[in-house]
Amino acid sequence: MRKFILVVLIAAVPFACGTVRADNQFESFAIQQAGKLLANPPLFVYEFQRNMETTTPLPPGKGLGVNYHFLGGILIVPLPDITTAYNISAKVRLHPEGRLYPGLPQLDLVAGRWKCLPAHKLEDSNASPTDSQTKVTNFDVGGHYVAAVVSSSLEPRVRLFWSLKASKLDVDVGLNKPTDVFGTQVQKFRGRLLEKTFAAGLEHTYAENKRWTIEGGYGMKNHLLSAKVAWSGRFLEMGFNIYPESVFIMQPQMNFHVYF
Amino acid sequence: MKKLVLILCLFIATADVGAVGLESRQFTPYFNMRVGQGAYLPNQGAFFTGANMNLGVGLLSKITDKHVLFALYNLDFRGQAFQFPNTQEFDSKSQAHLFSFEYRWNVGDRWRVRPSVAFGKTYTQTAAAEVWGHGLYDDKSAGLQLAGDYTFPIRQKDAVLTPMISRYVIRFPNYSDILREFRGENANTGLAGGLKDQVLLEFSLGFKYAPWRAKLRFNTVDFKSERVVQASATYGTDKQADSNVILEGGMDAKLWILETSPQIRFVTHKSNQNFLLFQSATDATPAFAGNYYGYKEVSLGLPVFLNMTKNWAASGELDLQKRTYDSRHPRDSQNQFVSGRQSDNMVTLSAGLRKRMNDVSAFTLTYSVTTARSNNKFERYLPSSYTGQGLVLAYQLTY
Repeated sequence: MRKFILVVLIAAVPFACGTVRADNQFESFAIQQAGKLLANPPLFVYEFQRNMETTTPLPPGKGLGVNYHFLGGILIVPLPDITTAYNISAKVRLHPEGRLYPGLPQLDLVAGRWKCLPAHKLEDSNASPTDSQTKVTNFDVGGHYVAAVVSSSLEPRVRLFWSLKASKLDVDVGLNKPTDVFGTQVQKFRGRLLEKTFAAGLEHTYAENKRWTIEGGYGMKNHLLSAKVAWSGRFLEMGFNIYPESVFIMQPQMNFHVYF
Repeated sequence: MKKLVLILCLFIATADVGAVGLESRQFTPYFNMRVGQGAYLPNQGAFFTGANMNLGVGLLSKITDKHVLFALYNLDFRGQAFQFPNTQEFDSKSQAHLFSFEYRWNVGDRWRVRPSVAFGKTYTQTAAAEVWGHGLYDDKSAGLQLAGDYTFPIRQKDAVLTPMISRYVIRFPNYSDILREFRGENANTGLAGGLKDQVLLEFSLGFKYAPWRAKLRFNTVDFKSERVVQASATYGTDKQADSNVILEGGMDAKLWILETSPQIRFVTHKSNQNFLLFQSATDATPAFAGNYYGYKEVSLGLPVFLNMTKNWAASGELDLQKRTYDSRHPRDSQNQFVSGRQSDNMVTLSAGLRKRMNDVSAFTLTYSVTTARSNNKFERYLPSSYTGQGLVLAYQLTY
């Protein structure tokens, strides 16, 4: 795999070299992407939440799991993102595969939440409407989700899993006085995004505690597409979230998990 | 809401029974997914990125040895990419959802009959300002299909002949003729929806004899409301009717460490629809162009894989597509028709690497150079002649 990543990077060099004289093209691209981002900020923020959400099933034999999203980000290099400071997800197995009767799939419930703790650092508790400068009086960004995950074995080492997930994201920003934002006077901004996502994926265990997963999802409310390709070890998960319509299509991530 | 209920029904039904497979193999799940991300640099216009994704999940239920049910959900997303000249913008996007349910009945030793029903919904974005669910070309489709597979031996090897008939009703709820709305014509005839609604009827005959395959398709597209525009710049009484004849074939071959799957396709498209060329929205004397949409097209795909090791392969591919219109004249840069027939060509040369992760999945990295040429010199709205390079990273898994 490392060899393949190296090949990707090497292949990108001639492509990039061919584009060095295309400054205007990239500038135009950047403006277009910035426009997409500003057109729907909650949708952009929701990608961070989608990165921390997990809908893979608990490994066979495990009844409880805790997941922490450590690094994510919009660039090709994993970095701490706005969910890193405080996020947690828990998984609980309600029914192990084949317990009630042979063939009945495993059923897990997943729930998680996050909050952007650094956002509060931007707040100015002494701000008043008479201040000459625009100041942030409150800044609250966070969300939570719940999901049901059903998984069944196709072969001893391959499982197919399905999930249905409900997500909620809230963005609440207050300013000390009305401020011009692209021609509109804004003092408060409250955004909420609700989404229900249907996803299906395949898990391939190739060694003890080592798995590959691929997952595709569709957000039915906002027509959001997503895919995830990930490698998972005993405590670590690394992979890419792919959002075909995003400003940043391929987003790397690193998560920690513990299963009991 | 109906979509949600349908998805839930499929979800619950397949989740419940899918797990039985390990013991009895009475139920066989199907999973296929391909995701790709590309970066594209045309010689004109802005650099752009795009992605595509195809997800298929299904369940095959073997009721008895002779009776099988197959349910499939397919999600197909096509993002920004280079397009064939004069057809779509690079920024065009679409996502299609298709549910199909097929019953397979083995009749005797030779025949398998496959009646099926399918429902689909496609969302489109043909311009940057459109949002999902409000695209001009969004459609909903529902249809029935009856296919049969006749298996017979040729030189002690099985060959399969597959006749098929299908009928689909396709509705375009958002489509409207902006010019007619602008002019206030037919104000009460439901221009805001239904104008492009159509009925698709298709017959096909497929043939498979490993490693060869071929298929002949014939279909008609009858528009329910759209009428044919006349030389007098008014709509006549005839409704638009299109048809297509498609002949395609291919084969798979392997020699030493080389693999190839060449394929070729011929298309003849007919339409009774004509065209009016307006120089502006207030142009009172538009130029009339009869039989504007009929064309003949040939396309060829020639991929070659060089299996260097068990998991690594180098690839190269040549794709050609050439379309010549029956009567359409090309336009000059001032949007005036000139003599001759419009001809559009696209050639893509690709080179890449494939890394197999295991028996069912692989990463591919492909660099391609695309050259599109057209004798139509007017390209204010759609790309016509361009050269571009692309780099696409993709992951595919089929189980």
